[in-house]
Amino acid sequence: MQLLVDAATLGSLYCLLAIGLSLVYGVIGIPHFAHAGVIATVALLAVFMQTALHFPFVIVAVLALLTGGVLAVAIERFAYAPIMSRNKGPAAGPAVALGVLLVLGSANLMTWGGQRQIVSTPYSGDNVNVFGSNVSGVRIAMIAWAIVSIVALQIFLKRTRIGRSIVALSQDADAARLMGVQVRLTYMSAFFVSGLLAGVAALAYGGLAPAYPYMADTVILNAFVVVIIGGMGSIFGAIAASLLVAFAQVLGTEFISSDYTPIYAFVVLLVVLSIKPNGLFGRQVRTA
Amino acid sequence: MTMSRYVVGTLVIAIVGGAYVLFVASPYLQAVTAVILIYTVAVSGLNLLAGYGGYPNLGQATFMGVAAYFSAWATNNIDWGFWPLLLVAPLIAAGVALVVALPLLRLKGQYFAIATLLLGVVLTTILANAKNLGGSVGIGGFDRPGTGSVQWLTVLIVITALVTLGCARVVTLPVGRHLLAIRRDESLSESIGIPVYRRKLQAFVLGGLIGGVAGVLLSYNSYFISPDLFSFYESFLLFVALIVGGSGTVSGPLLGSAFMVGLPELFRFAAEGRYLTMGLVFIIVMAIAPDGIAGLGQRLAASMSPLLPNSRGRPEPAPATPTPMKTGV
Amino acid sequence: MLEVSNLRRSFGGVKAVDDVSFTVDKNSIVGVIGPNGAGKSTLVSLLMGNTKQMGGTIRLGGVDISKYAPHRRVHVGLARTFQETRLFGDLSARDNVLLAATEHARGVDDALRQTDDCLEFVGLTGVADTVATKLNHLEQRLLMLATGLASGPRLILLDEPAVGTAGHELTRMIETIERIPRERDCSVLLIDHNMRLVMSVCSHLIVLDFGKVIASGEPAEIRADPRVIEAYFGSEAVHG
Repeated sequence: MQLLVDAATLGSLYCLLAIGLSLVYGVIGIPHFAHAGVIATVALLAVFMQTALHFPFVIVAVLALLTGGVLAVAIERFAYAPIMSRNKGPAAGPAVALGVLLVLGSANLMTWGGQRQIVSTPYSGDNVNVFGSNVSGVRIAMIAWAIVSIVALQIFLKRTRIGRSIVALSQDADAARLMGVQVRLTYMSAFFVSGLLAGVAALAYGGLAPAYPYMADTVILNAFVVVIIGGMGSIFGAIAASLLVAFAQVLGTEFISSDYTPIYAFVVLLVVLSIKPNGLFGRQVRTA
Repeated sequence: MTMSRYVVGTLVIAIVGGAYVLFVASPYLQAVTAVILIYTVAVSGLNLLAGYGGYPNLGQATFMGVAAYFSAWATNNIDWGFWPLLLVAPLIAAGVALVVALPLLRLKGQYFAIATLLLGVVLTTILANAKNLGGSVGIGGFDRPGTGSVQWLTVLIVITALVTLGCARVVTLPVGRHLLAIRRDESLSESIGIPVYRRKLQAFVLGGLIGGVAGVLLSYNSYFISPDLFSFYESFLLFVALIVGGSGTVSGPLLGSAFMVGLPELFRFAAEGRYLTMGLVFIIVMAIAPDGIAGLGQRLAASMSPLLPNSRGRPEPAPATPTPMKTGV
Repeated sequence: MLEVSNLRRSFGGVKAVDDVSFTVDKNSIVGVIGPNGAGKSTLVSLLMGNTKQMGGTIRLGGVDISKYAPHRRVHVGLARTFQETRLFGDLSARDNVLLAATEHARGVDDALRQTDDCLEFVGLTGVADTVATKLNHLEQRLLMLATGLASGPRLILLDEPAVGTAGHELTRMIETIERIPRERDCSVLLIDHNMRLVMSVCSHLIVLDFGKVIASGEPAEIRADPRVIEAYFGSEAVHG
């Protein structure tokens, strides 16, 4: 039972990260590794606001989300936009993304130091009884945050004009332009939303595991595995893939060895790619 | 530039630069040069698929690690020396590259990048848990060939020069112009008859082989290796070196390595600050000078024409220019 | 020249290409038309080897090429142009064609000769040294054609070659395509929506809908075929 909870929690985290990554990848075609940096920055900022400024949680949460959004847009403007305008080969995007991650990581290290601290939440101390096991509030919160975010994102993408522009741009950039979609604004919106999602992830994950400059670096890679095998356009793909990877990791850690935890996701990737080279649902992963 | 000009250029740099470093420079400068040379070898290997081919391989350090740790095992368990390992360890690394390439090369460029990063994670995890190879602490046992640092440095200089010329030679072959075409537009290249998959595979495996050479050199240079020398982070730094130096050029690896190794030394006062600076410099370089240092040099030399690296014997790439057309991933 | 038999391909339950069979005679121009989503792009992908078929065979000049890798199909005489404008943007027109010609020529001189031939065929000799991105739309489309012909193919697959052209530009594209069989000794499989183009150059038409061949015959017959008209909901097929 505990395993189930762990997998669900982990899966929720991966899903939350995956939808943020897919959002960005869909519009600009770059794997946004820097997402991990945004998460870490927001989480550390949240800790600071709580410990040094003693802001109440709600204020911290709102500020955290906003910071995430603004930071993400800044990254888009200063790092990604300059390389989009010229064709520098498929290697440019990931490289710059990692560069930004490096910059954010170092900046955070210099600003906050390397100590780890948990983001405290109103429900940190609570425990809930689920089917006989005690589940901590932060874990339930992670799952809740993820579900709320997924639903909110879907509504945003389907019901708002900006959201639909983002979807249009992801599917067919040329057609979208012809239909009058404002590209600049859409890019920035997509990044802003991804920043909000990063903020949510920071609060959720930061409540679970301590916040420190490199906190999200390994989970972000696993989140990318989810994006690859889940297919980009499909929300069901993201959920299914998140659960698959999470389960593989949790079961592997429990029954095989905890030493090899980071590689279970990779194994899943290899297995899925060998059987279904196009990922579980999507068709955009393979080379043309 | 024709092959003969590359040979002359390399010899001149090797002899003149080498003479300076060997006989005039301080031991500190010699040590730094050694690292730069090893980096140059590693980046030259990366240059094939990532530079000329434009395919974001973010896992070069992994192949260095495979060769390095194979060497560690071989020195400590079956008593092999430097020279046999220099021959065999890179082949092991190339073998791993071959196995890994089969599933990975089927991924689109961006996803390929992610997968190669994951390779680094896999290797570091496995190595950190390999107790008989030192685990996360590391392992030593390397004995440099020859006597003294002058001889060792000479070995490094010669090997680096050979690798550089080897890569230049490869680029003048059809595989070179195929890679350049693939970088420009993969789908288009395939539609005119270029064996895209085969070329990417060849570039990847050869790159891994050369990375393996660098791995062996690194082990014997530092006497001691540990898993985090070969993490995905190190792979990223190699990639940065390639871009800053100039991807898809012959001089790029050396220039980029000099930059990457030299800059932190200059900024040694601020330990975390130097990575921040390097990251910022990288982002700026990508934005304004994607051809790197070598590219700037080429542009200054001014005599550029769109080049076709084959029958006319001119193997250099044309710098990527803005295009409104669809270019392949 | 080209014989396609019982070609099948599905994507997750949707039959994109469903038991498609047709032939292209030597040095003829055959057109493939059909509404959006009919399976035309999948067909192109299958013919060129980018997607693996789930059933059926493809024969070129009598030889079964169903299992050949894409680049090998080019080497045995198949070529294609793309629907979207794809060129080596930073290279000159001549270098674009030369790159393709070099893959198939016997030596430098042969490659150069082929290049000049192809450029002349499409009428771009005058702009041969212009960088590809600086050419106008029609010139770029013609350059794609020249690049495709540079390998000396036996059959060239033109995927909506006339996209974005109209009026006299379209006329030029039409007359260039018409000359391919005679002057280049090459058959043409043309996939397009443009009725004017298709009706004037094709000797034979194949109509696809929902992955199936719903009609096949001479342009005049197809034009009047009620099934075809229905498939297009009476729009393009009637008004051209």
